[in-house]
Amino acid sequence: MAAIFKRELKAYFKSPIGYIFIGLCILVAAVFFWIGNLAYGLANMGTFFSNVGVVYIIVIPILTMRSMAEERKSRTDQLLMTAPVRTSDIVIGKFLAAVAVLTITCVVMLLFPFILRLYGEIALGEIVIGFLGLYLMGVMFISIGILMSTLTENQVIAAVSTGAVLLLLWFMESIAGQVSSSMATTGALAVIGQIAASILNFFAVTARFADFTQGIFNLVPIFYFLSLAFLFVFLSIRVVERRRWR
Amino acid sequence: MIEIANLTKRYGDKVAVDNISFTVKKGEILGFLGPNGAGKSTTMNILTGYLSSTNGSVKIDGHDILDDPVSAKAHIGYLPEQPPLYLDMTVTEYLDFVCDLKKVDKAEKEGHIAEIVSVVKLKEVKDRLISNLSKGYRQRVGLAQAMIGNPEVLVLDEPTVGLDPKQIIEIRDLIKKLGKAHTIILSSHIMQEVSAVCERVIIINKGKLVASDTPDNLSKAMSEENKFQIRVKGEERAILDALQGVSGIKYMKSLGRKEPGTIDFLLEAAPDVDIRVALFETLAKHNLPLLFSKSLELSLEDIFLKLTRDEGAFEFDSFVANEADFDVIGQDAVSEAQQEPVSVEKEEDE
Repeated sequence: MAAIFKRELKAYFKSPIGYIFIGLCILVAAVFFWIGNLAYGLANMGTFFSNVGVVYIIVIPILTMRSMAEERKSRTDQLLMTAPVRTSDIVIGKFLAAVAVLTITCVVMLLFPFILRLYGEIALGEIVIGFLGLYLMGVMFISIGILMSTLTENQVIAAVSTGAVLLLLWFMESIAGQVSSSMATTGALAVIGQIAASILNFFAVTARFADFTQGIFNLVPIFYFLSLAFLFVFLSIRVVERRRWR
Repeated sequence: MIEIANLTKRYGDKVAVDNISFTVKKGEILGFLGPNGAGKSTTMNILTGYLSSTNGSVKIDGHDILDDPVSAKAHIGYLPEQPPLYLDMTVTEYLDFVCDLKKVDKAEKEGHIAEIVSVVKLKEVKDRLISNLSKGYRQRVGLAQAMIGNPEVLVLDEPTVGLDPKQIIEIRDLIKKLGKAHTIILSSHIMQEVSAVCERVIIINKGKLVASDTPDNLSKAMSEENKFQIRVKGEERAILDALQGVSGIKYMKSLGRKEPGTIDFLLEAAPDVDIRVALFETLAKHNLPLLFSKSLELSLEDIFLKLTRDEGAFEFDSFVANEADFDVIGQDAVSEAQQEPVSVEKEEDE
């Protein structure tokens, strides 16, 4: 696993992808920070966090698109899959490498609150919780990107489908709201509507993310993001493993 | 070392590998021969654990590739048809990564890479990006990759494809050298390569195993038994009369004049009867010089073509059907032999 993690992380910075991800994230985040906080002299970074979440939808697909798809395309998966390592080591190594790039980005963004401090008092605890939420949501989004990358050998398809899924998740809260309000209020249909709405609500990431942006420390959304990340990594391993049996 | 039992692989309705069983002994170099699409690469992908079989088992040094994949794979070095190279790495970086992947001891890594780099002659390109290397060098990097970690088994899928003749000879020599310390399975559709390098040959066609033996035995077993082409100096009539006196000849046929003053004959003897001594003595008694006698053994190439031809397109025992083949072979022999007699004739003229 360590070997694959190391190679993958290096590969991110041999290709432009690592720089594009970090650069784009920080550039856009800086613009939001400037408009939302510095220009208004606002110490609350809640809006900033939601805005960076939107940036994720664009940059995380770029980060994860080549992960498994490229290996299949260039047939280097033959090296990995015939080496004395487990399939789970391969997928987890790749996942962690992408997470490492995200970690670098988040660490750099941690500078922003210190800029705010130059101008006055900030609620450090709340801001740290916001960053934690941003990080965990990113980890979960990466696991989705990895899964999409295992499903195809075309990087563009991997990126576009990841973007589509993330976008859908981002609007899931309002989709679920729409479903539950437009369904009949009585009878069997109402029950079905409620069930559908609650299933959709489960994937409403913005609702979980809101806790963090408001600076509320709550174990449930932490567990939510981590367990979904675990689920998608697990599914990715299954997909790669399954391919042997085609 | 390698035990393969009842291996079958289906892709939907298509059967790519059909109930193949064979074993490879330690230190053996096995040639894996078959036309394109016969299932060679699929079989190799299964026995290295890249694909799973639909049925059957693969054991590497006693470890089942499906039940105990990590230990089984630790014994194998695999060079797939297309070398699995990361083009964004230099040769040294790449080999270093493969060392990590195969869990080569950190302390030994540097020495191990240096040794392999010198064996496969990559020294002059070791700091270059793989994307800038030629096909021949890439193939060698692929081979180096397979050798890392000193696996006991090397599985090489068409290792010389796309190389120039000089590189082919180098790679073949290298494989022969490696064969002294490794068990090697080598696939190819080039006969000379297999007969030059391998101790045993397995031929598969349409997913089925059609033959398995040493190259020599294969060509003996597959040859028309006891058939000779001979060339005798003299008149056709006289020679035929003399040949009547040789016991054990089942069939004879004049092939006509291929060289001035001589006649070629095709002889078939009864199985297990060596007629060559009797033939020589009889012809000598009649003062008819025997210029050459050549057993019509098939080359590996002929065997391969025979085995992989569509069923029903040829009849083995029918003599008539095979005559065309002999003529071709006879012609070859003639063109080889022709040069000397011509100069002899000139001398006679003077």
